[in-house]
Amino acid sequence: MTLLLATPRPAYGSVTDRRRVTILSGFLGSGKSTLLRSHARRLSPLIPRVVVNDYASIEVDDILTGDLRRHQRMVTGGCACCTRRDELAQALRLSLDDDPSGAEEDRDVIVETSGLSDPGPIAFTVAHDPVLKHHYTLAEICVTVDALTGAASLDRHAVAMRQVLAADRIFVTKADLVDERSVRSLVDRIHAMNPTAGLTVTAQGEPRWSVPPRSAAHPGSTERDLQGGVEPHTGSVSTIELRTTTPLDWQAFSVWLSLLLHEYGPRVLRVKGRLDIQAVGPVALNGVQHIIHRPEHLTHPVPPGTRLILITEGLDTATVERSFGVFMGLAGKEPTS
Amino acid sequence: MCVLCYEFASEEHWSDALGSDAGTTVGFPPGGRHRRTALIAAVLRPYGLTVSDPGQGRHVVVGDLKGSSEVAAGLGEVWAAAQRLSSRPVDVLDDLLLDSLAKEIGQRA
Repeated sequence: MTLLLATPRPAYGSVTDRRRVTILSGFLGSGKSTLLRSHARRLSPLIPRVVVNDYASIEVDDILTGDLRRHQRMVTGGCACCTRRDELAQALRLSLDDDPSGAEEDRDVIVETSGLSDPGPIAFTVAHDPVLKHHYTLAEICVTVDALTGAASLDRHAVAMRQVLAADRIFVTKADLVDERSVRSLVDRIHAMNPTAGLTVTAQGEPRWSVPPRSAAHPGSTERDLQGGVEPHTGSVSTIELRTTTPLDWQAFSVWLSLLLHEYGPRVLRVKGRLDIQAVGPVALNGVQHIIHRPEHLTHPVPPGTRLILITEGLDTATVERSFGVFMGLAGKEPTS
Repeated sequence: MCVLCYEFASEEHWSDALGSDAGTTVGFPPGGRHRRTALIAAVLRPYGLTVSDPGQGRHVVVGDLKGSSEVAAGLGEVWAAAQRLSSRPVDVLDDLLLDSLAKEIGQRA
């Protein structure tokens, strides 16, 4: 089982001729490097390229991931999400020179972020940097959560929560250090916070068991409904689920979502879903905070209908539902201009 | 820069094009641009703003009733321009906006 690298399942921007970037994030000491090392061992000798970002200017992670050294570049002395974004971009550019031919084993790059990084801006760098966007495509954001201290980090540190909300896949690590019941309750909490992410419980870098993303668990649901669930641990953060069986008008949808993000971007922590667009078909949409990745037309068979999940902070579920409903009511009708 | 019109290419908006898992770019059905302008107009009307599409490049012109106007390319710039011209926040969750849009649908139905 490849742990970190995206399976052939298309994520966002799985354009075949570009190198895939997997962002590995997670709070300080949550087991990113352990996961990376066990992953590298599993793939050896086809070790993926790695860019490591360390908050400290001493390269701690560099020492820990010693056997990966030949394949990695370091970005130190700050977070790649803020002070070291240019350096991260530079490291990825230089990585292109390491192997200009782009041999198959070098198609994958893992960016291990510092424990204090918000993965959102890093994803933005990869998707929007004038050079990088032509050579790289974002495969997945993987986030580690420590089974031992994860719950406390989520309570105390906003960035730990942002990491979990941005994730496409979450690894609950060090499961062997706590009892089964605590792991279960942490898994339930994380899954409630970000139902769009798949979740794997690991011990010593090895996978134990998994929970699929919620959309995969209930592929057949087609009724239009909305569920607002206020999470007890995270205050005003709630998950809004929009479903509809009628195909959407892309223009009405993009006008609605762009206007929502314009006014409430910082409060829309996550947008993820599958849209059924008139005259186009199924489209995958993925965004972290106000950054929406290029929507992708899906050519493989998917369940019918639209299913969109918004993770929001301090937005009223009923109002968002009404707004979505009114705008989608415009679909196919010509407003008088 | 566009070699035909010497226009500096601005940041592509996510709503402008679709990628595909087959690696190609998928276009939207024709007529989308006209409908989008009509939808933007319906959204801006309750705020006393207008939008017109000169049909060149990616630009539309957002204006108010006092004669001020701004040129905007892409949805992100349109909302930013509308925000500068409007005295009230242009808000997707605003009841006045939603009532106005709902009424337009009612009239056409």
